[in-house]
Amino acid sequence: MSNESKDLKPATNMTRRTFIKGTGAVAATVALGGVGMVASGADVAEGAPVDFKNAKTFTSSCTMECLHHNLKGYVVDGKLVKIEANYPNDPTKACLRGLSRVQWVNHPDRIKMPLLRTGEKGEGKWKEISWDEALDLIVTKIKETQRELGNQGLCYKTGSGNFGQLVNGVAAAFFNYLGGCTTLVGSLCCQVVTTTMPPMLGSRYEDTRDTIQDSKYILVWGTNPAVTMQSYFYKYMDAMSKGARMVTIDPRFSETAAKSDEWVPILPGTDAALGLGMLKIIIEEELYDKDFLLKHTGVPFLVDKATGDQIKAEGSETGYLVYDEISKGIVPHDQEGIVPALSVAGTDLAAKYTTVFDLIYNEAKKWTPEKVQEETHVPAETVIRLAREYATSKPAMIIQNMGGFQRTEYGSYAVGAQFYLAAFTGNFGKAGGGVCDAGGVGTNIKVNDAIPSPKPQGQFGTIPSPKFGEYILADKPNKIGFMWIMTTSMMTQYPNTNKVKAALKKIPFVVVVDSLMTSTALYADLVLPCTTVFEYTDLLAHNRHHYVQLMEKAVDPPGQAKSDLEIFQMLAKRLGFGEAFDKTPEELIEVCLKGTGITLEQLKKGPVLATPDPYIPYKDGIFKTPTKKAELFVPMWKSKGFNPVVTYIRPNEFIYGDRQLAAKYPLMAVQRKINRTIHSTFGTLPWICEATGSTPHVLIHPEDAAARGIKDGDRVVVYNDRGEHRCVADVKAHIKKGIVALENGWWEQQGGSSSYVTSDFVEPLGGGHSCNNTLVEIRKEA
Amino acid sequence: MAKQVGFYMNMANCYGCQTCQVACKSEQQTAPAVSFRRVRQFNNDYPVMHATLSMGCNHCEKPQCLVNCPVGAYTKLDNGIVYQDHSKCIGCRMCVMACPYGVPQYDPEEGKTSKCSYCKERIDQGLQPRCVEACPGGNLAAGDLEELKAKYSGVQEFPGMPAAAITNPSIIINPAKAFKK
Repeated sequence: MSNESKDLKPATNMTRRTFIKGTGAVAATVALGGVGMVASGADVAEGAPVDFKNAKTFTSSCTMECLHHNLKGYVVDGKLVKIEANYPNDPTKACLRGLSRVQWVNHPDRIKMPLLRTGEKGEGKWKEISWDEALDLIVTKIKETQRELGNQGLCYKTGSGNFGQLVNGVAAAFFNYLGGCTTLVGSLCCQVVTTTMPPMLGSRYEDTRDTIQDSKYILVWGTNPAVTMQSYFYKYMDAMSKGARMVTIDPRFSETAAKSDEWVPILPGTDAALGLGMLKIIIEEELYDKDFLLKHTGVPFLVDKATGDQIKAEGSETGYLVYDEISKGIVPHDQEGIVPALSVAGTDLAAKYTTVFDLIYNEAKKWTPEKVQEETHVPAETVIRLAREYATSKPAMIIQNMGGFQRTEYGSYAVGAQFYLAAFTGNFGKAGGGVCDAGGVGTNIKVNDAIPSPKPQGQFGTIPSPKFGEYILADKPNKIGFMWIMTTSMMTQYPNTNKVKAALKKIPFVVVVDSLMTSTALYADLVLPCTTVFEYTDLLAHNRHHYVQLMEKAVDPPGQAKSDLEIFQMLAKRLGFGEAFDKTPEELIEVCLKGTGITLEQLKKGPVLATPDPYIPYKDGIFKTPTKKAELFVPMWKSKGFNPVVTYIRPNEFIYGDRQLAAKYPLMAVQRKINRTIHSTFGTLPWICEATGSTPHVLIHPEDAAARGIKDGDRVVVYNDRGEHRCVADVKAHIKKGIVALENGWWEQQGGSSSYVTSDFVEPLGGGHSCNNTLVEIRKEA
Repeated sequence: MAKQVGFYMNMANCYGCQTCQVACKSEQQTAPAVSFRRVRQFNNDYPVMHATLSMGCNHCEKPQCLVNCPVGAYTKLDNGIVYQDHSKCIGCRMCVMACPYGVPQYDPEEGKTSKCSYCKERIDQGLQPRCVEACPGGNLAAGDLEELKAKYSGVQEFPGMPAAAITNPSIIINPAKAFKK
């Protein structure tokens, strides 16, 4: 909106009344129907104000799939009374969610004892049992399953609800001590980044957040850092104040788009076409950085036309061959004194060989600006301008950050297209440049597993995460008799939720470990109460923050809630796993830290920076691949029957894909992350509900709404063949016409997850999740 | 001239995370639905516009809450804070109606009204108001109004906001671009 915004007249419909009311910010009192959810303020908000002056302070971390900010907790009389960002020991500040954890710890609806189902699954009828009874029952069920179905009848799922070092890894160790089990593979969040980035660049979790403020051009591509990278967003503003241009590509006029110079709406799942179209301009107008391409990328590597494979010097894993323009011969890419040819088109070699550059250009050249416009709805002139701006404003940074663009049917190619753009323009390895992924401690130091995991006693089969429901219902690959779910809420996060629900009902014994009665716990046979942050000791050293942090126990958990670690330790004792699990948290933290150069004593004084500052991934163009170059040809894609270079494949669940389906369900739905939750975490805390609202919404364009007789604030049903999602219409032109934005993370007790309608298609190149290629229709609730 | 504290709000860089709002709630332990600081949204469709403004009490020079309170619950302190003696409040809501900014918050459970005190107790300890301290974007500042004016440029009102002439609020707003002249 850059050009228009300069002439933009202030909204004229603002009155004093609307100013006082604001919009959306004043939530009505929370109304949570269903099982055991109350909407009253937590008890910390009651009674006489607490005097924080004499409080004892402890530090911990906000450990779900977010930025892992260090937190300072205030304790008075054994009760957690306030949480603040531990600034400046952590130089970025925790957000409203982190501060609200005080209400999580003190939540009146905490689960305090193991709960055994007495009614139907999902009915919410339970009886409290003792830990001894619960553990005996679990051991019995495990043994029964092993006897009747074999180890493949066991399954577990950990998620991103807790990245503590003594949590998820311990589950993996535990199930391997049992001999192994059926496992779920592929993260719902960023699987295709995990499978695309390492073969191309040599690693994952390489974030450029330290130098955002040095960028001259920030291309925010299908992600919304104003919400999902919020504590670093001031750096974007800093860059802009120094003259950087920021452009946001998103179907929705996001919070980030609102801060950008330009919003580029796009059809979901078409990002690779836009990327290739931009690359075509960059190649044809010779805006690429030839020196960088030759020195630091594999685009000159020769490809045998007969086999379609890159050729290598005999006996060498990394000895890719290139055509040397000086000696006019085929030589290893890393030989001194050569000038590799980008292209061999038009030479004698062309009969037998091509180069990676030629392969890439062959894909890019199909995407004329006009064709890109047809496919993506990004105007042709915008495609040309974006390409020129991005290639000539240096350093330029692409913000990828596990964005929604890659949760699409061929998301791997969209991820790859962004890497191509950064490589072709020589933006990698420079302050203010590169491609921003999530990143953190694990990229630079190796933190050990707390409990070394034995090798499983066989291969028991895998379930692609998006297909959890379908696979379980079809006993594919195995009939599952026992399921353990922790640190995740499948009933809010997994696509095609009706199938997930049916699957949880089908599995004879489901254990859910959680601290509150989550949407998933509702469908358990046994719920085990666990601790939350500030109630147990742990180590946080993962891929989201540059600091290693000690998570201190500040208060006792309610009732008989136990840490995930302790639960496994108790079970390990019953199952006779020996001493491996039998250590204190502090001892296990020492194990984790061994060899890192960081000590527990150091961490007791505060978070420890474990990443070079500023961190510049692939500094000076040195990549972490075997060749140390960006390898833009991905053999793994070829082995799966796909083009080894980035290609655009039209999604199926898309208006131009399956036309019959699109006629029935003509609206494209994307699923957005909202300020109130991280996935579903925090979703029922009173302060969060009060500040951000407690009702799911769907954002719909005024023209799409009018065509369906829907007005702003109407209750509507979003539906397709998979199911329906009931919510409230937010009618605004803040989304491209023809697309609607669903909100991620709503609990069953709040009306249910929008994932009831989202696609469970498995992205075929990397095994990813494609919720953002979902077709729906919307009707007014009768 | 009497001393006067104030707030600077960098609306141009505010991205609406609402951390200030929850930090305030947590610090002041306010009742459900009572928020001394709120983040307002401003939206427009054609052309699209979305902006957010975080506002607590503006500790006005001519506070209408104080002027209209029938029991004298409000006082203007030496440092310019408009302070409510909550024990005097009778819940009549005159201040709620009088304040152009919708600052005083009535709690139906308690039957009384309360409002932002500029974190008076924290100020007395040499701390900043909690909202300012908590803002991850560094988009709020507190301090002596004259010093804030020397450091930041901005306005007391933009189109759609109440006229500053009513109360002379102790605020400097750097408006979002859509509200800039």
